[in-house]
Amino acid sequence: MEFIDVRDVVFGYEADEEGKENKIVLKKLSFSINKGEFVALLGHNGSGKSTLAKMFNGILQPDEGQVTVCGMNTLDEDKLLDIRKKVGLVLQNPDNQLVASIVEEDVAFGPENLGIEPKEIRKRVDDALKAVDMYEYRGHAPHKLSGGQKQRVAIAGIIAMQPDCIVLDEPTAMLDPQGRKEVMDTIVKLNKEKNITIILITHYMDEAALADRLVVLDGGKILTDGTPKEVFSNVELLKKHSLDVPQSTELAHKLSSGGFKIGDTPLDVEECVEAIDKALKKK
Amino acid sequence: MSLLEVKNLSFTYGTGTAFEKKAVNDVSLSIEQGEFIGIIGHTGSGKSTFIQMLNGLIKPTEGQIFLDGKDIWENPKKIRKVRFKVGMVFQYPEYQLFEETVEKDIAFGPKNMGLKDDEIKERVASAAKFVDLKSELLKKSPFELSGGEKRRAAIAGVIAMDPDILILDEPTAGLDPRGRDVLLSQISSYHKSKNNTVLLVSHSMEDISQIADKILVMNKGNMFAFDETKKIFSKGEEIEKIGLQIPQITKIMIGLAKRGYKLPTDIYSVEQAVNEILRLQRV
Repeated sequence: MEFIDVRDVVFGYEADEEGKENKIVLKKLSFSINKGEFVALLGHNGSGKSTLAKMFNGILQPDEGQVTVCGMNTLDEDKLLDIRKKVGLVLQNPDNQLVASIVEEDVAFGPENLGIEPKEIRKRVDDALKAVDMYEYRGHAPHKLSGGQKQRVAIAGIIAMQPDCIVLDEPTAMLDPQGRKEVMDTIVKLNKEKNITIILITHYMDEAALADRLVVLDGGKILTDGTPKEVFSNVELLKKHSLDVPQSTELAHKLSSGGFKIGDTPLDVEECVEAIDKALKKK
Repeated sequence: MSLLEVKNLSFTYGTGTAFEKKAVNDVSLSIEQGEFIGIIGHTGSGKSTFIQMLNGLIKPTEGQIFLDGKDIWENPKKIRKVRFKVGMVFQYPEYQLFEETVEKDIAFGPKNMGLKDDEIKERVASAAKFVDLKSELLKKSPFELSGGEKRRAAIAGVIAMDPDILILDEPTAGLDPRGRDVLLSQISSYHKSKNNTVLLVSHSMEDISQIADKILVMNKGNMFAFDETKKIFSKGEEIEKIGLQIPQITKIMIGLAKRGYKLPTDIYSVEQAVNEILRLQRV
């Protein structure tokens, strides 16, 4: 059985008072995610990806179709708490997600609400802060941390609830390059070492290239779905829908159209240098 | 005479307290009329402090700033005039929208300059046009606009003051790739048609390299480099050493050069790289 299954989901936001028409955001969307997968969702604003993110743990519910997590339907209100224990959500703005005045209290907020024993909470908070490399900051005030640090505390707050899956909606959009790197390193580590399923929504192609699988949304439908190599090798399709590809991929693509053949689609600098070096030696 | 001249500029926060910190250290440079300057640096490199001194929001602890040859702090009572000449768009400027309608919000600056109603109207219309805000949006409340529209409305409010120098602090933060491209091209065409001076702060070397004539690199409060865009990229590796990201494409060229290929390393666009590599192949 799939871990998360999205089946024929239709969703629209209701018309506002000014009589704007209903806006259908998701149009009969279907796909599923396996346990332990690292999936990146791509698409520009209005493609429906943030709406979809809120479907995975039942914050939003489909108008038609269904979303199931371990077989539990998000439309079933009795199951919502169980679903939210399994699927945690991290949002874009770190300042909107921290509630306490001390880092470790913030991380404890989730498990406290699950009614977990104080002793167990202590252990979970420590483990979670260590997992995101913020244990040294456990006694600090969140507002004095950098953006990347705050975002890692927000992730720790989710980990402390021991979910099977974390959904991150553009977690690095408001961070500087250093903060972005810290958060991405943390996400990759959680996926590889703790086998937590990751669903990452991002605009950054270099972040998406780290995932096992890319799902590209456009106009509420799936445009393409595959490994980063498969998806990015289709440069024409992505450009047509005004999406970027990593510069390494774009360079290889343009060289190929200029008659300079490069074998495999490179996704990062090392792969690209290697591929060009190989191709130049061949001639 | 340069439009803007900065001499031995320093700023220290919290002088005499335990938190004393020199944010900007002895920066000297001059900026000519009509230049487009990119400013890049880490969080904490002093770039925000630096730009806030340029329009007199904070007063340097040492050094001087000359606008049109005149020291801006010569008469502190007239500092407000400097702010009309040097317009500042802060990070996430959409948080500063406050008026009942978009039109009134954009008109706020010109109104404070004491302009006549006709002139204000004209300025609002032309500023809205520069950022491509449709006229039907002008009568709406700013809070009814989308995120991207809000940001453009906030930028229009500064453009409407028709400043000689426009400073933008990370104007594309949090936008998707399409929103980013649109905004950058609007800023660039505004710059071209007005032939005024623009200073743009960004974390993204990729963005800055596409539009700036010159780049200022800040590191730990010091001016690390200030030069033409192409020359900055010839120092690619040094810039990477201080922890800033250089474009993937520059890294690829450096990587290939290290493997013994005769390729220039001051390349920052995919097109340039394609031409260079194809040329090498033909030799």
